[in-house]
Amino acid sequence: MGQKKILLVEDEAIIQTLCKRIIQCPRYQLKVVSTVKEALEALRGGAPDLLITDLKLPDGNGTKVVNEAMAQFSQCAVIVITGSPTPEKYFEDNFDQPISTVISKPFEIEILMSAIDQALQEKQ
Amino acid sequence: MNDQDTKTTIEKLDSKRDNSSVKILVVDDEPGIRDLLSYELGSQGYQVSTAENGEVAVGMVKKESFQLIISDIKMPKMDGLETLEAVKRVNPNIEVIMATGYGSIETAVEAMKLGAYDFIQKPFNNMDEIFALIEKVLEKTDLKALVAIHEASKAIFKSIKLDVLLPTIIKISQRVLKSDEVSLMLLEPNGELTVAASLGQVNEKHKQARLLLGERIAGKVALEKEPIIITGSVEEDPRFKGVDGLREIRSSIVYPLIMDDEVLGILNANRITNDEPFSSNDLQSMTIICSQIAQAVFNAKLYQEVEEKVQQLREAYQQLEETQNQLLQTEKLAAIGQLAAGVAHELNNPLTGILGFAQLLIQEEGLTPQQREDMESIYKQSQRCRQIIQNLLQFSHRKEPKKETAYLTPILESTLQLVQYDFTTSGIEIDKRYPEKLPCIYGDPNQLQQVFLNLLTNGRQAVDNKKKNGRIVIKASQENKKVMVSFHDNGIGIEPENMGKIFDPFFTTKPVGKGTGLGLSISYGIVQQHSGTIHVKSEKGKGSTFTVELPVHEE
Repeated sequence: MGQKKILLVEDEAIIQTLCKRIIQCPRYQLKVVSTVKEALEALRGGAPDLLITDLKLPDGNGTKVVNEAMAQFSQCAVIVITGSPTPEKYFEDNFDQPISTVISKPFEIEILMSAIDQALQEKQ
Repeated sequence: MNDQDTKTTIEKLDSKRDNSSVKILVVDDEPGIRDLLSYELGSQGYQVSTAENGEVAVGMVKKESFQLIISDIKMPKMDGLETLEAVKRVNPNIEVIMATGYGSIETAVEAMKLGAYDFIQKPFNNMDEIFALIEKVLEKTDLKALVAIHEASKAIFKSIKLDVLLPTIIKISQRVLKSDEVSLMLLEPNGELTVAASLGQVNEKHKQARLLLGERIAGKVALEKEPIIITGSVEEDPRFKGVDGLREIRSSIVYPLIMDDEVLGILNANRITNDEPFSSNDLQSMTIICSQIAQAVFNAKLYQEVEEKVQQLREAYQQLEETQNQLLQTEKLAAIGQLAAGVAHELNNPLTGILGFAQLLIQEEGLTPQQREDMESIYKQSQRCRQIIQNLLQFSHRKEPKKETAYLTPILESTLQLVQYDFTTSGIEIDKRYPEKLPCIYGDPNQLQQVFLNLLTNGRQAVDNKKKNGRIVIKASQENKKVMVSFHDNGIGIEPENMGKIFDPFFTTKPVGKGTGLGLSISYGIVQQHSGTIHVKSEKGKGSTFTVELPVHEE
């Protein structure tokens, strides 16, 4: 079992740093980008096992990244981090496929950690 | 009424006086004088009756109404002065002219003192002088009638309110027209004439008859805008065949009430005990009085309309004010909501950092107990911040309610289950006074539960702050197309100056940390999204009642 590739799309430095700290583990290989453009570029470089993305990004919406990743790589797990406290309706409308995990900001780190574990296990 | 005159005549009379309606009684013991005056006055068109002595004259005055008596002074049995006194007692309105021979001027002066109008000297050399005097007398009686009408007119205008005015009009008309029955019919917007006020009808049967009579003639009068006088027995008129109860009506007059060429209604007067048929003089009185009545009724109707309009305006204004208040509240909520959402969003990221790194630090193993405790404090406080932000976002980003057909009782029950334990252990009594089945509503059960929970929690805090035997009464009922759910507590109540602010976001009287001041404004928003209203009644020191009104769902 090799390293799991995780793509984090997040423009906020503090969240980036936090996620890096949480995901700091030899089992994971983390790549961090901060715009939709960079994320799509990274996706062209190969399939990640897990995509973690914020929705509000400087050059667009994270849904675009999610839809693209799911279309290209059916094996790719997705965790969406959002600032909206009531994202349900939003998700129904904007995603081509259902999202396994949605985490509202601000979150407890355990929640993100267990969500990552679960997402990667499910996709195995 | 003369016996020969049984034929009913319906006349449209012009209102100018003609002599044939003037009745003069000549009293003299000399047949020659009686014949002379009968002839001369008759030739002027007057109705002349004669009496050979005072007694006969008084008897006639009792039966018939004369405008004028011309009486001799020297008569056997009852002389002229006695006759004068006697007839004045019977009818004070009768004018009397005394006829005297030469040398009885003193007696004539005495007669003037007793109320005679004037005296003439016998023999009558110049009849024209006598005619002129009679004309003067009649003018005086006309004037007297006019004064009476003038007084009546003043009375008619004393009130502007229709319900006070109409009975007054009827009473005055009865007096001025010397009638037994008077009724006033008004033209309704649907074109029907209906009795608005009446006086004198003895029983239901008669009333019906009068109405029929009224309707038939009144309709004609209203249509043609011309008055009608009926003299003689109404009963024998072929047009009233089959209408019972008209036997005793001697004379009837129906006059249109016209204002600016518009018929407002009619005034009908009937004479029963008064044998005297309505004359052109009465018609003249009626003309004046009816124009006054028409004006008064017109004014009163106008006033009534204006009053109704004012009432409507007042109601509309009140409604507008309420709507405006609601709008203001909604606008206030929206503005504050936007601000809150913006702030909350901005705070979210840094707070995620604080929360996350605090947690990471706590997980470190090399911390001293003091450091760990400090970190825990940071963590707890940032959690509190998160809670506040979540409330803010929930308030501003109101979720669209997921509406479904729902019953209120289960929603209330499930809400109560949430607080039951807490309430009972705190010694707060919950008094449920709602039926098992309440009408359906269309709404989001979760959101409504949130509203009820908020009201219950507020009630609990109000009670807690006051005394031990706290109590919350929950009532629910249907009123028209609304279901009302009310929560009454016997807590501290709301300060009057705070009543206008309680639904404002962030307004709270609770101690710092105990309330965000968002509960009621969120509830307000939720109820509004359910097309309902929420309002409060409160008395300081006695408690508050919050009532939620929701529309009944009609399937």
